[in-house]
Amino acid sequence: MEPPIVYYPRSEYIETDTGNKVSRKSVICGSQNIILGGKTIIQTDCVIRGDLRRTGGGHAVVVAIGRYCLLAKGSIIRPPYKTYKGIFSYYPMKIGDHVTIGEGSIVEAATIGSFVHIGKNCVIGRFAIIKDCCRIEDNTVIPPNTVVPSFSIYEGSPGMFVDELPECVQDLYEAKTKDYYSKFQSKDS
Amino acid sequence: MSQQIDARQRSYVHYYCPCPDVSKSNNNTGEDEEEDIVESIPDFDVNSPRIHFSTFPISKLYFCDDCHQIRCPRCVQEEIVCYYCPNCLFEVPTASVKSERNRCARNCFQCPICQNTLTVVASTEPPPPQPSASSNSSASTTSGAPYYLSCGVCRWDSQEIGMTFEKATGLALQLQKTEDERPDVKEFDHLKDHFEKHLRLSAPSTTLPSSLLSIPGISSFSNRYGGGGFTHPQQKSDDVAKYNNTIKIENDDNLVHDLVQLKDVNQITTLTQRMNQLSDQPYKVERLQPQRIHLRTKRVKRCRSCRHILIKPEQKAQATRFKIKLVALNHIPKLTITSLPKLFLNQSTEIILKFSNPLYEEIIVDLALKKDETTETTEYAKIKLLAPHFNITPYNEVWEYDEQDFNISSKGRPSSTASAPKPDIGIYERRGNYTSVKIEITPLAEVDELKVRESTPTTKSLFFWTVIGLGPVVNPATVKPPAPTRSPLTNNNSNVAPTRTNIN
Repeated sequence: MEPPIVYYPRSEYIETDTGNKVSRKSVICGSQNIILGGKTIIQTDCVIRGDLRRTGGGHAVVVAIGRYCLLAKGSIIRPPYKTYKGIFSYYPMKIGDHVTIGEGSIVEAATIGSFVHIGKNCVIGRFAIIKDCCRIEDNTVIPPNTVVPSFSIYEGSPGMFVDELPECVQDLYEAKTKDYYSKFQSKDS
Repeated sequence: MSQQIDARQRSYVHYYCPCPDVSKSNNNTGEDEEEDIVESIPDFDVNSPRIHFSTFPISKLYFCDDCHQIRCPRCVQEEIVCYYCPNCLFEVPTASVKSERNRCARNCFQCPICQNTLTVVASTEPPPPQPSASSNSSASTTSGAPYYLSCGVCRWDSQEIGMTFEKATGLALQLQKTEDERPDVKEFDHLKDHFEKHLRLSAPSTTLPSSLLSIPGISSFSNRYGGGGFTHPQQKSDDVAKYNNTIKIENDDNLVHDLVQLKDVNQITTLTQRMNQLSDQPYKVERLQPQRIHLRTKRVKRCRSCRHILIKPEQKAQATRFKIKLVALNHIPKLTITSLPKLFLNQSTEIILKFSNPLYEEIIVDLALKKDETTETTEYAKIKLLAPHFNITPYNEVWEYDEQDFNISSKGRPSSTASAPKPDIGIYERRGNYTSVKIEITPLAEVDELKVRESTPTTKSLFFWTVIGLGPVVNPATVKPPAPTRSPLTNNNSNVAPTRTNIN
């Protein structure tokens, strides 16, 4: 089934030069530490905590998001933290290209590869590593420090491996995110 | 509103792979055998339950260039390319896979309680680095020895069973000694020694590569598909001497006594926990031990008739690219349902199917419900194809970069790249590399899931059936729509409309 055209009120979203569409109703903390790859959509009520950075001066990137990503309504992105040798610090987080994060999901992973689809209401634990071309089904809880290898489908709470993805998933997700971006259009309300 | 969403989510287009009918579909060359193909591909009944196992969404299908046929996951042969650990993503050389019993030889362990990955934790935290550290400063502990394993999900740790390690790395090696002492491992080694002599003497020259033999059950494949030379194991057992088992395990009489005395069911292991520790399958939770993590494989997939490679992944475990990737998505037109209004009983509705062309050449599509028929009336619905014959313009990569063409501005207006200026009947839209056609459906029965079967031959004489599921049919007379009584698997009231597309 083809996804429909989604309209958003023009006044609600900021569109940058690189094609990122960020909702004004989202909570972006520390935007100078966040990198968006281009043509990424951040929808209403998203929370990105770019202010949680490790101590130390300089211009550090806390959250790096790739191209054609979609952060759906109510999703929360925060960098993972650890107490190592008595020192508490946050670690930078990297999200690849063509990643879809579903509504209401909480993501604290260390890295998310490209071509990943995360479902709704998921909880991705701290320092989880999700490799390229994976799928996390709705309502999954991925425990901390889990490694999700490529081409796998994880489901359940705690998330367990259930199925393998077909080889063409890269083209499929790429087309899906590009299609979603082209159908996410503004409307003067 | 929610029903609309529900109907859209339950709609699908699945492609049929005729692999169960092995004898009928062979490698036809194509152009002159169009009629043969029409005759040879059998009419299939959408209502039979086995259809569910023969139809697949296009993402799961492969396409063999030589045979010019669709291949489904059931009719491809697999060979193992490399083994890797799903936790540390470390590639294990094939030689050591057998000696490590298909498990990771590094620090990857599975929690015996919840089967999640365990992390290596130091017993004592090393002290924070002092700002002024002199050489005489008191160091309470140098490193964090002894180390133990801890589960992040269920909070189990290996100190409960007294399993600690001296070093943080090479844990499997530290456990090697205790593992080799296990009775089942010793018995298996004895068995291997006993049979190895006979294996070497009567070693058959197999035509299959050795990588195939490591998959259990693949020998049945080879027998079926003509891989000769693999002798049946029963022939060998005649001249093998009788084996006497060397390890004896005592019956644990105390176990029964203990189990009878149990008050709390949480002290007994669950089936999953027991099956993960096949060596002794303990009943008591205290006797569960963390297991090493099983390896996963990267596999090469081959077409079953011509042995042509369809999928060949890269050798490196961490790479997600493929050296050869012959997927159906890149060779046959992709059908999607663009518009699916609610289906009401006895009300004629139009649905729009979109055919996308992935090739660099133009294709001509011939749709048919049955053989060369464009309308069909079954007991479930009356179907009429409004555009039985049309072409689809080729795919052009330039459109990837030209965003203008992809914006859907107004319906029905052809873009500058469209070919036919005159109005085509039944064609809803022709833009870029896809064409959308209309199909008129009048449901005659109130069903939970309306399925439509289409067959699509291509002018390179590729022919395939598709099953289009359209979701529930609602009787407008009732106040509420009937709740689905049966799952789509069992309830197969479906419209079968075979359409054939000819791809040139």
